[in-house]
Amino acid sequence: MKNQLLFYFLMACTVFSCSENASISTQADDFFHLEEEGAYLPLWVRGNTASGKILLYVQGGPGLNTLDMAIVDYLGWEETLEKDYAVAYYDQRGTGNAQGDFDWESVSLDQYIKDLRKMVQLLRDQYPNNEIYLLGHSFGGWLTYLYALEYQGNTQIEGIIAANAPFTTDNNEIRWKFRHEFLVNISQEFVEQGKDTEFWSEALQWTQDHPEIIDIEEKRQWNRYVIRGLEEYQVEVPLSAGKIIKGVFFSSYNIFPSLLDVERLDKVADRLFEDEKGIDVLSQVNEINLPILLITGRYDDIAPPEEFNFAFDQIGSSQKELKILPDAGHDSFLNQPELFREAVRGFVED
Amino acid sequence: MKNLFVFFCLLFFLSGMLQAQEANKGFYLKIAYAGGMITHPGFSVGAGYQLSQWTNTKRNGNIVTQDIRLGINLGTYFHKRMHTGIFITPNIEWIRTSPKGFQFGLNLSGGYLKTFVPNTFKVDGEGLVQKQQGSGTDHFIFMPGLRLGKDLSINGKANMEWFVNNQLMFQSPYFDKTNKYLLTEIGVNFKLQ
Repeated sequence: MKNQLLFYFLMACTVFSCSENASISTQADDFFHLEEEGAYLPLWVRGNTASGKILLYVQGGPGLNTLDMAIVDYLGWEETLEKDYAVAYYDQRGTGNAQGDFDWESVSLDQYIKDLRKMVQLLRDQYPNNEIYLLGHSFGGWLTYLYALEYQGNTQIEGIIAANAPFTTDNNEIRWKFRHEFLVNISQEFVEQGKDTEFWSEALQWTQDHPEIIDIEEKRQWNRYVIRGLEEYQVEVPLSAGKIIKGVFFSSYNIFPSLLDVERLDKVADRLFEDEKGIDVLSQVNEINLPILLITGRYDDIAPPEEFNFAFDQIGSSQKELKILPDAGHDSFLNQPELFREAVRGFVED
Repeated sequence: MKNLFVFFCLLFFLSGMLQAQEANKGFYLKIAYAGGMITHPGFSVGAGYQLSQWTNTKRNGNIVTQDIRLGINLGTYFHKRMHTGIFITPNIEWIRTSPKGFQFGLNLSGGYLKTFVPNTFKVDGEGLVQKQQGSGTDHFIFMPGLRLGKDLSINGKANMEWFVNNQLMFQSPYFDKTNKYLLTEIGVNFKLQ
């Protein structure tokens, strides 16, 4: 009798929890959880699954939330990319609404790649007739490079779209060679255009006085130039009160662990930065053999085109494209939404 | 561990009941809407006793009543696509009632929460995907709350109180420390004595 009651109780809870099925539609809105290593990672598939193509968005940061961005449509893809294809959003371990009782040891690059792999497999299982593309931004794009290297020959995806995703990290000294070149080029460009001439002339002179960026003070000075000089390309999308209220009170989201615990997100980022040490993607890009689209902004100081040009030549894939978007910074899809959409469509439809 | 916890909850509840009987204080039953983040619907039911009650007479002659209550709650909330939570919490509450029946209270609950995470899948090492049933987590919870309400028995309208109780739920274990969640109860207490 006692067991029967427990059984009915659990059944009621399961029914109450609501099950959703994958839908093939031009306006899909499907929600899943991936149970992996103690965590329940939420996965939200939105948009045009009838297109037969799903873009699995891999968040950057590291340590940024994803689902909250999707709820308020921060990226603005609800009326653009999601009309063309489906976009799948998931909260990475330790961020957003990833639930469960998992430990810090599992917040690692290794586990992030495994989580991504299982997200791909879950999508392939739920949407067997859809092609899966990884769409990674910044650190998320860097993760997609690692994914391609880790699962060479069995990636189970059609291709990678890496948006503003550097190939180097702060631990790779070559990064500063590209960054130096970047500052030289944009300084010259702005001086020629007559834009803030005094400032950019000073920056140009500094690059000549410092032909290499080696010590910490030189790195800081480089940062000061690009932060001050490229401020206009940093985009903050204003959110209406309606969107905020919808996100906080009428969505699947709990804002407490995701938005009100910044300290924890910083800790997640620190762990992943620590894990980055010793990884040199740039020296391995010749092993990336699947279709790949690289997108960056002309004025992206984190993923400068100078670095992208170099990496692009090294990539082993015969199906590779590079798009450098004009008047765009590190969030190139916000600076140039239409050009970004065209680039993605061009690649996916090829 | 869980059995031990339930045992202590019952002990806590029964001791409160005995003390209340000794003092011949009021017994009440509670029913309330329990909304996760206010809008995600659920309900809670409960019972409790007044452990102690005292009054203060103000200079103008008005009488303010204060009481301490012990109770136990059983409730659930349904946060679509996140989880369904089911909780049981013994609680202690201090309430101040004005001469017109308006109430202000502070309360503290602690207990157990079971969550059920919907539409969950597991992928094994071979890439085989399997749907999971009854997935979820177990948490100890701790909830400080702030309550506003009105005692309708003061003007003889009904032997009941209505209230709004906002509680901040701390759930543990949850990743590195605790998760937080807002639980709002809007309900009534039926006084039985």
